[in-house]
Amino acid sequence: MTSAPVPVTGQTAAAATAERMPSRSRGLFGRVLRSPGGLFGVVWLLIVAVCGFFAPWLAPLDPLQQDIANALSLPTAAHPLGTDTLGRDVLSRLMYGGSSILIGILIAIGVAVVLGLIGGVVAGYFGGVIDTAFSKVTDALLALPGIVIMLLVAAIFGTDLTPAMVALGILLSAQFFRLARIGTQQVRRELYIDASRVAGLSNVLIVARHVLPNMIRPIIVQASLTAAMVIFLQSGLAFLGLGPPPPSPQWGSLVQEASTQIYVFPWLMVPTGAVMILTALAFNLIGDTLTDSVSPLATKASSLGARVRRSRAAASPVFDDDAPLLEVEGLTIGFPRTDGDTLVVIQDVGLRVERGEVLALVGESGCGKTVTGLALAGLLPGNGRIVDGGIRYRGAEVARADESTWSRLRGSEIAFIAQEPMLALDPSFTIGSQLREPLRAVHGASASAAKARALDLLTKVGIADPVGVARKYPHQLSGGMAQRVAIAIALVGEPRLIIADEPTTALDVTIQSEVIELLREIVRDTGAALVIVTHDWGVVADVADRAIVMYAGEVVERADVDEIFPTPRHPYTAALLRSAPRVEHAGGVLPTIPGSVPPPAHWPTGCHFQNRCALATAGCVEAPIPLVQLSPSRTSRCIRIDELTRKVSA
Amino acid sequence: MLRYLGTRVLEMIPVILGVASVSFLLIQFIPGSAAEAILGQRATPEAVAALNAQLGLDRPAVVQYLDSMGALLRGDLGSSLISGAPVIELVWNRLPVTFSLAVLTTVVSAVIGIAVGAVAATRGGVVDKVLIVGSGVGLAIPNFWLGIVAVLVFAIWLRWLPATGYVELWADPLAWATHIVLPVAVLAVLQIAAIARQTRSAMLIEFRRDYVRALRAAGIGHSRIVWRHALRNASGPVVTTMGLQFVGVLGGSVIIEQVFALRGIGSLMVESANVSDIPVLQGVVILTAVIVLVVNLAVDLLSFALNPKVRPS
Repeated sequence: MTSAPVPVTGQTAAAATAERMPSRSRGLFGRVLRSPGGLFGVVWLLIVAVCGFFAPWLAPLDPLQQDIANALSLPTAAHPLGTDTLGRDVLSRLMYGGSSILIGILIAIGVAVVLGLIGGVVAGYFGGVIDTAFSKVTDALLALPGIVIMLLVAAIFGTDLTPAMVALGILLSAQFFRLARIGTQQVRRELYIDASRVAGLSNVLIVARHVLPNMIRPIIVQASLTAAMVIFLQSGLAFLGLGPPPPSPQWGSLVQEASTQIYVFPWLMVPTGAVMILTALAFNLIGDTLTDSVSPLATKASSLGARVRRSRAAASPVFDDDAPLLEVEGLTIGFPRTDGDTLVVIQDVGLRVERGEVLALVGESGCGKTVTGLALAGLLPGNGRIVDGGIRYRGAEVARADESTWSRLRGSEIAFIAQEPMLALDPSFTIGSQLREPLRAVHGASASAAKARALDLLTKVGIADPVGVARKYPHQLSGGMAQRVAIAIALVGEPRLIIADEPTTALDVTIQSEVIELLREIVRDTGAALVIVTHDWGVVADVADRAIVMYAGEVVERADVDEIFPTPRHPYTAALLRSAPRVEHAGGVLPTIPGSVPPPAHWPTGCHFQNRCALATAGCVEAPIPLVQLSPSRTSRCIRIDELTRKVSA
Repeated sequence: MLRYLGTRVLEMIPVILGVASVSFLLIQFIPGSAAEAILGQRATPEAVAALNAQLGLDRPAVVQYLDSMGALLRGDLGSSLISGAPVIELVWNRLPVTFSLAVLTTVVSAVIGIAVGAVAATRGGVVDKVLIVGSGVGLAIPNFWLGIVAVLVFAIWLRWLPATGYVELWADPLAWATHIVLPVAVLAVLQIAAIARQTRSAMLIEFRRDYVRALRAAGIGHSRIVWRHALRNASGPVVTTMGLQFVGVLGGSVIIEQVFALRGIGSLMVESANVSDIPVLQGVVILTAVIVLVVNLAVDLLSFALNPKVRPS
């Protein structure tokens, strides 16, 4: 019997519920009843409750009525679940026993909820010494095995199990204390109540009134996950011979009686065990159902595994170095929807990157730049997949390559730099170890060579104290330093193509230009090509040779960087350039593009930009707009270019 | 670090005194006196009074309380009302059995639970479904029932293993193993289910983190990412769970020792509870609290080793 396992899983889950589910208990029981597990749980518990509390009317026989002639009988018409040593009816005894289990659960959970909520609200509200003291007490309660305490209490108070169940409730209150404390702290922060100034009981009650409705769901989750444990503990006590003396039909004592007969009549174990297991399962299933939407229990296990299952040892791609470094055509990417359809998020994207060239992917958030960048590195998230189109890297078609091919490419040909450097580093390993790992595991370097190369790389990305930084953990670095480290890791395989997803967005403005400068140096020194995803025209101007502007999953304009600034050839590019912060806007109001990027499910039929475009006409709405080649280096997806050109030059 | 350890050890003292005080308080509820309980209902009032005086139970409660707390601080947990043997000695004699059970169960369930949880998280699909449902059932089986069924199947029907009893490890290692395997397996079922679920959800959270994508971007292989990086980062909550599980295993062994007729601390408690030998029960409660506090400290030290962020500087 345990005081821990069930609540632990429950606790995290319930805490998660508490944090992420501010909504009331609306539809709570509907949810439970709609899932097969929850429905079973509720129905079974109803059966146990009705049979238990109305046993005197419903039970076929008196649970104490002996019938020695029919002792130890298998199920018969008269005794559906058989009889025990004294010929008593097992079904009737189980029905009578149900009520004392349920009463035990009500006492223990009731005490736990009331004590835990009061303590948690008080501790969460007042904080300080009270909070510390209460928390220490609950820590101590968690440290005590329930059965040990219950044995002591049962030994003191004798055959009535009520004091033991109250004692168990006190121990279990720690779980509810934690929930209520977190909830109260959140509400207090939200309500900006200054405890020191307006401390008083009425305020505690105000907070409690705000807290408790939100707590209903996590409390029910926790209570149902705890109930199974109460069943184990109470029946365990009865099994040990504590609690109501023999003829009384306790579930635990029924198991004990059955255990004395296992040599001659093992059947007795079956009905008793089944009833206990089903009841515990019913509580757990109800708890799981209520936790499901927020807990990872419901999350389908990882696509990481699925991806690998698909991949078998594949032939290395055959490169053709007369081909461009990277050529993408008609790339269309989709995510499966719950109804089975595919939601297209990137449509017909084409691009080309030559060796040593810097290409910027520009656009607002939600335009598909990042997904495109991830696809170029074979790193599409979750179950995203390439629906159509091709990605040719050095002449080899890789759009449908398996994970092991991609893994080989990424280690040595294509590198990816993420937006949040701090999150891209594994918090549990030192910087040095994270640099050495790919060197050793992917490139087969010796320990000493890996160490030297790691320090060399750190120096190369401008870290002044490589030895010191190599010993640090990610959380000990600044954001700029972390991005330099992430870049150093990207350089491990001497990539020919680097994809950087908003590499400066998460950084301080002062650091941003340093990191851009570093990327420029790397392109210059190593000859690698760079695809940089950004929404910052400054970055485009600083580092890129060519730019591709994306809007709502499509490429809308493609141009050399020195052409695009003076002469944008798509209304979206023009609008985006106007809204970029520049010196001439200082002090004035920054122009913005009205409206927002439509999500993939709501793309219009014609031009995706039509709703926000000042130049839109009937022709923009009717049919998809094709990309038009304006010059060898320029394309645009707009049928109103003439109008736009007049306006821009005017 | 030493300073941290010192503080943690000192912090245990009030907790232990608190546990002892509460159990002392509980005894005041006993109807009648301990002497009556020992001598039975037919004892003469003189005999009861004499025994009460002998046990020091005729003194005021405050004096008794201070006396027993003082003794506790000196490491004296009192003596059994029945045998008169010091509680420490009784517990010490029973410790090896319970200790073997608890440590083995914890190790076995950690290894299997973590492996099962990690496999469920990485494989997904049917494997995952089966493991979730299986762990759900595992969490719903009362261990005393499972213990009896295990005896029925493996000892009575299959005759593979002895039904009950215990052999000292150093007396006969093979016999020790055959005697301990069933109780450990029975105790481990629930723990494996709980640890597997915790591991699975912790791993799924890790898989969604950016560093996993960064590792893939660096060409690091799948199994390295799962077993070296994701598992390492998921181990924090898993280790915390295991610490609490240890409390559960201690509690579970109380009942399982009865099922398998093992003479450990659990059966000592049950025997004492049946004859109202309160000092022994109290002593076991206090010692259990000590063991659990030490295990919690060990768990925290282990999380420091695993997670550089939470290390005390």
